Amino acid sequence: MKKRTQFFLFALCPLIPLSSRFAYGLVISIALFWLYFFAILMRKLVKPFVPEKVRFWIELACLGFITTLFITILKAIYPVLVISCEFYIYLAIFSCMLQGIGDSLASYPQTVFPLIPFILAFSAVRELFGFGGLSFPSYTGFIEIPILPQFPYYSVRFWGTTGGALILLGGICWFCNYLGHKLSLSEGKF
Amino acid sequence: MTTDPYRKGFIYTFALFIICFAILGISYHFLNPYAEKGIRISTQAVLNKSDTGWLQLADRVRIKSAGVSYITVFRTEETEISRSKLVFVVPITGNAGPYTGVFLCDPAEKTHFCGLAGIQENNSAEYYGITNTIIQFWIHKIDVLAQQYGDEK
Repeated sequence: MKKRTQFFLFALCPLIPLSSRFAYGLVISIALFWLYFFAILMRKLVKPFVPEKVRFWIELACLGFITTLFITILKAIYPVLVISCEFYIYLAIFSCMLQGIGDSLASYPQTVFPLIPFILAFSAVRELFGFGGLSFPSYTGFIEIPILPQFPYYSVRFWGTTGGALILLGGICWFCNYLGHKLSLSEGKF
Repeated sequence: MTTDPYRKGFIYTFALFIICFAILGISYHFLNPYAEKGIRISTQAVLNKSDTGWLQLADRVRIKSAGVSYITVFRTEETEISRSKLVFVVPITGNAGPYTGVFLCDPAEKTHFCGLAGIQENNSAEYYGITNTIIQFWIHKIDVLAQQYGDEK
């Protein structure tokens, strides 16, 4: 797989606002799963009939259809949530499409699947530190479950903001690099 | 007789597009009422909590010039003491993520922010990172849209 850093960075941009609440994290994770399974299905459907010259563009159009269908269904289940995050879901899925289809759909699991547990964990940490609880999507908005007692009295809501998210991301990147470095050193010893 | 493979591919692609559009149209037709009902319940809850007086949502209004900015607009019911107003339900992105804001627009008065839809606790918008500057930006945008709606009528 070729390295496409610009696509990867572009894919991460909408994830900052979408990871602000755990409810959004859940929604975007389901969206990525949905896109993956139906993209594979569409690919199998299109491959035997459509000429190779135009196949890539037909696949892109089919992915657009899959995403729109997902948003339409999601709107009926979580209408209030979709109003606020619809644009970001389109953007995130579009950038994942660019990232995955830029090479081929075969590389999609490698690039997007590791993102799903990361988005879930990151949104849970952000919401816990920023709002003192976790939220879940519901028909009329959010179901907010407070976890940290008396949070408003000692809270640092900065961690719930975009600035806080970027600092957390920096911390996570450093930790991953540090772990990688340690592991490579320990492998070298044996 | 042999069939041109390109022609066959074209017919197949065309059929695929027709099926896709049909599925989208049918799903939109059947699912959109549920979506609207949910938005209506949340918006009504925000209006009831705010200091706008007793307002009841009536039918949904389409503003052509709003384009693809994902704006939902309702009219309020006309009563003896107040005439019909417009309620805008818009996506607002603040410092702590995107939320759904509810604004009340009366052509004779100033547009004002009623609150965030879908939030359980009685926290202010600032708690969720929606600053006054962001609210003012949307008030200005809504004023322009309401003006255009008046012209469209």
